[in-house]
Amino acid sequence: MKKDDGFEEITYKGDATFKDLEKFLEQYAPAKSKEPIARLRSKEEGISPEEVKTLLLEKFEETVYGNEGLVLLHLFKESTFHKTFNQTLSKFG
Amino acid sequence: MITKTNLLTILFGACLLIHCHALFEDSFSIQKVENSDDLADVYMGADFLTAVLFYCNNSQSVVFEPVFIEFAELKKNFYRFVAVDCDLIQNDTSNDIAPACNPKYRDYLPQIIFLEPPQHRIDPQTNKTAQPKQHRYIGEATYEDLSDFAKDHMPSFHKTLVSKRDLEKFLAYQPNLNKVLMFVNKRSLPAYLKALTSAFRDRLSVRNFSFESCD
Repeated sequence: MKKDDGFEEITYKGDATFKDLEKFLEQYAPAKSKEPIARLRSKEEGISPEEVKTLLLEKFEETVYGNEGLVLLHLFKESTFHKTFNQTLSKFG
Repeated sequence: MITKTNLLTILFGACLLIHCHALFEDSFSIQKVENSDDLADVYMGADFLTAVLFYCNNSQSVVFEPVFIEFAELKKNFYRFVAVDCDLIQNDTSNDIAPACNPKYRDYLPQIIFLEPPQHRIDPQTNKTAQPKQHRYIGEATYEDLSDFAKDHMPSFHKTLVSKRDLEKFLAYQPNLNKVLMFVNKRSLPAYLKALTSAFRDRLSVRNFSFESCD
């Protein structure tokens, strides 16, 4: 209910815990949404086969976690690529 | 029967196990820092009291790991936790930010520095970004002692109202910001309310009205 001074008074009646109060206050002061970390590419832009990286053990974290886009991991033996991987690459590439 | 050779093999295996286990890998409440750029972000970016543990792969650090993890898991809502791997940082050329990682102090690791965020983001005297206060922890490596130390240095981003005039000024201040008025029976806020003022810093304007401060 709005008061004469223009303020709406809302009383918290929940438990006195950090989590409950945080949840309650989030309704009135939501966290600012973060900017997307990577621009989504249009289908036309696609990805080039050159962007497909061979994952080396020592570069695993850098390649997988240091990437701002969606990462598709393809495990293969010798030069036998999985059919779905090739299809995905040709669809988006 | 365990022969001398078997015993040596077991001991060697145990040593290998200790060295293969990367410290603080298993805790989601602790941010691992392995370069000075990330550590600089820790120093500049926090609104919460931040416990920064400098460690290396020595036996004292291994012994201390479960204590710090317990501390982080139980207090993750109140503080932020960072573990700095000095074995990696000391190879970083710009390691002035982590003097505790200097190889000549390696025998003194682990060390904990608590970073207390400044009340104002910009230092009014220098007009530059305000630096956090650093509190070096000296005490027993126990959850209870760490917890007590942290509580003593916990920041709170609120002011206390003591008069009707204070209340009127508060209501008129920053009209676009939602306001929170806390009624407490002590002048000092309990830890969970202090933590809330950190969590909602810049999002809410918080004041408390203490019955102790009321005549």
